[in-house]
Amino acid sequence: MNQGKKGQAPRLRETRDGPREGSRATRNGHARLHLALSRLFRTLISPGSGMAEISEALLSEARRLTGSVQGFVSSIDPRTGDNIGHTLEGEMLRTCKVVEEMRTIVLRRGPGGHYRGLWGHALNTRKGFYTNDALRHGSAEGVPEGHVAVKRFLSVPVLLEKELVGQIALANPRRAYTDQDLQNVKGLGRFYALAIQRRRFEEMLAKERDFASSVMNTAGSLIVVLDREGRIQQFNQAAERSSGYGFEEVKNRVFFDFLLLPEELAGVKGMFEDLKAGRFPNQHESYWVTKSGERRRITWSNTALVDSKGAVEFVVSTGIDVTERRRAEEELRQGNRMLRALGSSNRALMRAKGEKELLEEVCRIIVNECGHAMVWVGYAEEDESKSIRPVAYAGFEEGYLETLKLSWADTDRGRGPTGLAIREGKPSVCRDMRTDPRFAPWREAALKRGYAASVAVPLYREGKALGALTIYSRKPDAFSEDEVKLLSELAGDLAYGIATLRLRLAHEQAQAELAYLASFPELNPNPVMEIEVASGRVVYQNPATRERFPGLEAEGLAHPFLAGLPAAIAALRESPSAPVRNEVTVAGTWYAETVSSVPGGERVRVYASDISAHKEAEAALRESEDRFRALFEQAAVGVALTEVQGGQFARVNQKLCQILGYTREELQGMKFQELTHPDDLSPSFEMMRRLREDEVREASIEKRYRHKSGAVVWAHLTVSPLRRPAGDPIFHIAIIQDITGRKRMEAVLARAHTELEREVEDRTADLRAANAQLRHQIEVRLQREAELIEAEKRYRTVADFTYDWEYWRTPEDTLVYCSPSCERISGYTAAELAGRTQLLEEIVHPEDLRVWQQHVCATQKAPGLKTLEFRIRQKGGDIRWIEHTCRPVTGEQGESLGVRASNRDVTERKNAELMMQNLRQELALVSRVTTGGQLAAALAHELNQPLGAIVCNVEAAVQFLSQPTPDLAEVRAALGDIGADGKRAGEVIQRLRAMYQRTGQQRSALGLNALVEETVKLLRSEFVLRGVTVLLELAPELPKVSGNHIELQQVVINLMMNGVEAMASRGPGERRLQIASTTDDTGLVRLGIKDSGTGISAEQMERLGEPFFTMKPRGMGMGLAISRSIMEAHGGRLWAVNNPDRGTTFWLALPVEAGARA
Amino acid sequence: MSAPGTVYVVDDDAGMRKALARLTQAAGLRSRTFASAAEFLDQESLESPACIVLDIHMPGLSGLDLQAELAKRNLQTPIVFITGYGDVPSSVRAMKAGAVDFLTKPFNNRNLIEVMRNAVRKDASRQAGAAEREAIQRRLGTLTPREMEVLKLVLRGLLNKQIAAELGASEQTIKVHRGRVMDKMQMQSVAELVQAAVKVGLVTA
Repeated sequence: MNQGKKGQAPRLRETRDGPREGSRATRNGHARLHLALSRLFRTLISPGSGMAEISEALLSEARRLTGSVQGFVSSIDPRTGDNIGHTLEGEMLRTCKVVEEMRTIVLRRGPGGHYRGLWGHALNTRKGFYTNDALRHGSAEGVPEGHVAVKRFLSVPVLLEKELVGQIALANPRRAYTDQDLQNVKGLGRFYALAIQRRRFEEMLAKERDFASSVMNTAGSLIVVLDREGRIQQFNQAAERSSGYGFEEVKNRVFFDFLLLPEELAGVKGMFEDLKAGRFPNQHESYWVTKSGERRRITWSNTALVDSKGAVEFVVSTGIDVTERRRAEEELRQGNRMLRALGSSNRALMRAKGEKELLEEVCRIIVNECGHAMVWVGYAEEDESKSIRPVAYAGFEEGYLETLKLSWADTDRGRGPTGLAIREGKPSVCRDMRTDPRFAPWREAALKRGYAASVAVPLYREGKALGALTIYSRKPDAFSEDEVKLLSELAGDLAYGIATLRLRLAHEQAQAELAYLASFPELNPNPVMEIEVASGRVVYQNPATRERFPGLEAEGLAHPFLAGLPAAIAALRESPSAPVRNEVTVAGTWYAETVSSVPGGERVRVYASDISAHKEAEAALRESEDRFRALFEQAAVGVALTEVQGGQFARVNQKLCQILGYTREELQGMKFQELTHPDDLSPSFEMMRRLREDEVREASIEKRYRHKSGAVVWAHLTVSPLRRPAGDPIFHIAIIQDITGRKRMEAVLARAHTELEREVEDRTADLRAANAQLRHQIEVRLQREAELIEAEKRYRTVADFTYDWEYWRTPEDTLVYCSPSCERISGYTAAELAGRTQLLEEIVHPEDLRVWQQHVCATQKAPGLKTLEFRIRQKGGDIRWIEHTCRPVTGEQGESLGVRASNRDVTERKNAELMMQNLRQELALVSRVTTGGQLAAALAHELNQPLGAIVCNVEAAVQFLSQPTPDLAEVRAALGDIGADGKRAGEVIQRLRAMYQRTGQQRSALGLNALVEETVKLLRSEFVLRGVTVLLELAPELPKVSGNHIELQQVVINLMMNGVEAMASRGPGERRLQIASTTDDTGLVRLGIKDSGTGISAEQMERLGEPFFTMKPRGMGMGLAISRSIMEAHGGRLWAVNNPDRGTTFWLALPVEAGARA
Repeated sequence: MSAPGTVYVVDDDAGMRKALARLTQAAGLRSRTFASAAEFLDQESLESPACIVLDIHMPGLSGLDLQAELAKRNLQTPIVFITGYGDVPSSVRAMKAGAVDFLTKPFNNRNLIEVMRNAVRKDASRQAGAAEREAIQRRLGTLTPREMEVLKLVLRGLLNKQIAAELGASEQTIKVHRGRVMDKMQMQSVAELVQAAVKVGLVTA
């Protein structure tokens, strides 16, 4: 900087001498100092200037004021105490080799806070000084090689409220330093201190902002901050994920302009106005529309941030995405409605008189109960075009059915849901008419009427679809699987009903026809005749009589058709106005005979009608009654006839027996009161009363029954009187649906709902607390820089209401932030911890202290997220498990700003894990001991080999020794072998003992190949005894895995033994066990154990690994279950596949050990 | 020991093979060792006298399989079975098939040397008997039919006079025949002749 002016300083210095000149020089000095300070101040307030610019300007002024050739301005690193000079340009670099090489001057603080050398003198004494004979100064230690020689030296420490924060050092002016120089530099030093203070303050605020921003962005809830105009100011990552918009896209856009549904806009805006008017916090639930157009349901908790005057500046909304939960609730509600519809339509079936009436009633029920837009029934016609004829509908139709022209043939108009349902005989759903290509022919007409989705279910009867029931909803994707299932049931019942009604109709029509014909005897195709009572003579017969009974006239009463006539005449004499009816059979044909008096009483008229067809119809009718019974019996819901007086069950169906757990005989002797839950009795009686007094035609109730087992059964009941043509009803008919499952689910949902609400309330309370705290903070900070404060206060709200215990620990070992939740987790308040950072170490459990300290070191060294689990001792002495996540925080220049950490109490989870782990290890041990027992014979064999060899060698040695000239060389060799065999025997025992050991949790890096080889050695005798050949195909250079040696060996033993067992029925030459190791393409290490045994059936394969499932005659059934749990505990997998030729291969897969991958 | 015999050791366990070979050597016998039954069957011929020390349980062909194979090849070398795991069914099978002994490792109560020596001795005597029978048969082959007839009657204990009557010849002629028979058979007395005849099954003892 301004190197040109520098030259003036030495000349000025030369004129100084004597007291007068001295005071003028002092005045001059002051003036120049003021000039320098005003120049510096401009640098300080210019927005772009950082510490580097300020210190450079400062040095330049200091050198100009004192005429110094060299110099530096430094700051003290608050962490290490090292004195760090700033990189300097110009003279300094040209004249000093040391600086040239280092680019930066770092002067280290020695032990006891002592700084060395001449420059350290000012720092140690905390006083400015100068010397014009630097070489002889008491603190001088000489200069390093290459450093410029220091002859004159002036230095001032820079102090900020007693804290040493920097230094200004100058050297080698062309004239001597004076007191005035020292005073001037001291003045610059005070300025420098102010600059450092300001800088630190800015850094602190920035750090807090960075920290709070990272909390906000890692929170699981959605966080949106709006300004007074509703413009989005903050939008965290959770909000980005849910909405599909990035923060940059929505920043400063008005929330109401694009994220809300038009119909909900007014409500949400009202809420916003409330908040602005100071009515906060509040909650609301609304949809927002994501970038892809999807609706997501969000529950919001809102609060506002106010400025010092109490005016609302920002609105903070915290949201939870409840779309999935609400959808499940909606499905449940729909399922309930459907159940109700099923019950109502079953009742309609029982009452039905006509087919059309029945169909319309059912359509109406579905529209009313389920709230669908429109329902219609179409019959499949057997005409040329296989058309579908609409026969009944209910709901908002507006001419839609006319436009359909549906078909059930495989054509364009037959590929809609209805055609498909008829053709394929199963339900067909159109989830969204806007997009389903099959729906194209009807799309326009349907959308115009507001339909969005449809489902068609076939009316299926005796292997053929009569037609279909089609339902339209206003909402896309409105039909859940459950609903479609219930609809199918309903359609099945409806088809029953239709078939029955048709039979009844056919029967009635036949009868009506007959009655009509009777009035025209000559035309009547049935016989009509008149007989004189006195003579029994046939006086009239119509053509049909002559045709059917040719001999009638001649035979008279002797004709078989008239055999019953005398009795009828006798009856008519008693009551002439009541015709007598008989059924007579002549030559295999059934006739109905009606005998009535012809006015005058001398003759009777006999009508006969051929009722053979009628007889058949009657049989059919009986069948149809059977069907009604079947409907009653097979209904998917419980049906009961109860006596109006007394409440006794007169008839019940099978389903009801199932629901209540009693047999039909038991139930039919009981009264409904005996089975009803006491608490639900009075509503039941009330319902009965209303029915009895004709207040309602039917009534519904949800009530509890007591199942025979004592369990509570929730039921939905619809009761109506069974009407008779006259008189009061004797029976009630009740349709009973088991809704226990639904009730249970409702309870679960209700609980979840309460929980959600509580959560929201908690959040709101947190918000309220945070708000109060914030208000206080704002007042303090308003005195500082306005801009930073605004950002800061928005963020801190978020940090404080996190559930986890968050803290931020600086390199200086202070807690910059500690969230209130620390008290819940550690027992210490945030204030206690902030006051004593060492507490963080002190509460760590002694056994975990080492890992904790290692973790702290590791975190400081490397960036990135790290996690650790350890125990702490709470203030109250309880031990809690903590899941700790942390990340080093760095500033803009990459300097360390400490570590931000989040702690979660995972004690419950951890305890459960530990318990499971212990249990698994105990089981594994039991299983190993069992295996050891099974291996006893083989192990005895294995042990007897070395023992046998030892005996032989001993005997041989004795023999050699007893020879006239003992062969000592042989004896020595024998003894050597005895030693080796003894060791071998020891190893067998060792391997065996390992199986009986309790395993710890220790894992190590181990090679599967070595483990396999060792295990094959252990089982060698087992293989020999069972005549099994073992083939090893081990991949060379297999990566190591991390695992517990004993446990993994147990798995391998278990699988090998299983293989051996599976091959027991094979011939000796066919028992081959292949063991192959390999790495697969997902980077897992695999081990395959392949036998040539009998293989595993599909059913067995499915149950494989269930506890206590075994395929061995004497197996315990735990081996595979334990093996599988061991593999899972190792992060691995165990599965089996049948080989294409014969036998089974069991596969293990384990992840590569972390250290081995590199 | 007068007859130096050979012990064939067949055992898949190397330590065991080595120990048995050493013991055989200490007992003054020769030993040959094999790691499997198949390796043993590759032998061209077996020495004699000898015995086979055979492990029952081996990978591939088992000891019992080998025993059956040898019987099929009409090789009668005595077999001593050894096993690390003695189950009753295998030992019964082995003994029924003609094994001379059945020992369970680690041979706690048996003098293994004695067992091997006995087996070899048994083989030697089996071998010696076979050689003598062969010599007698060879000599019988040199007799004329007439001499054979005379021999059979001598063995029935008839006097020369009775033989002459039986064959319709003079007593003198019979005497000459009888002298030739004794010469050809290299026998000194009728008692010796009878003993030889018993050995080859010409008469039942």
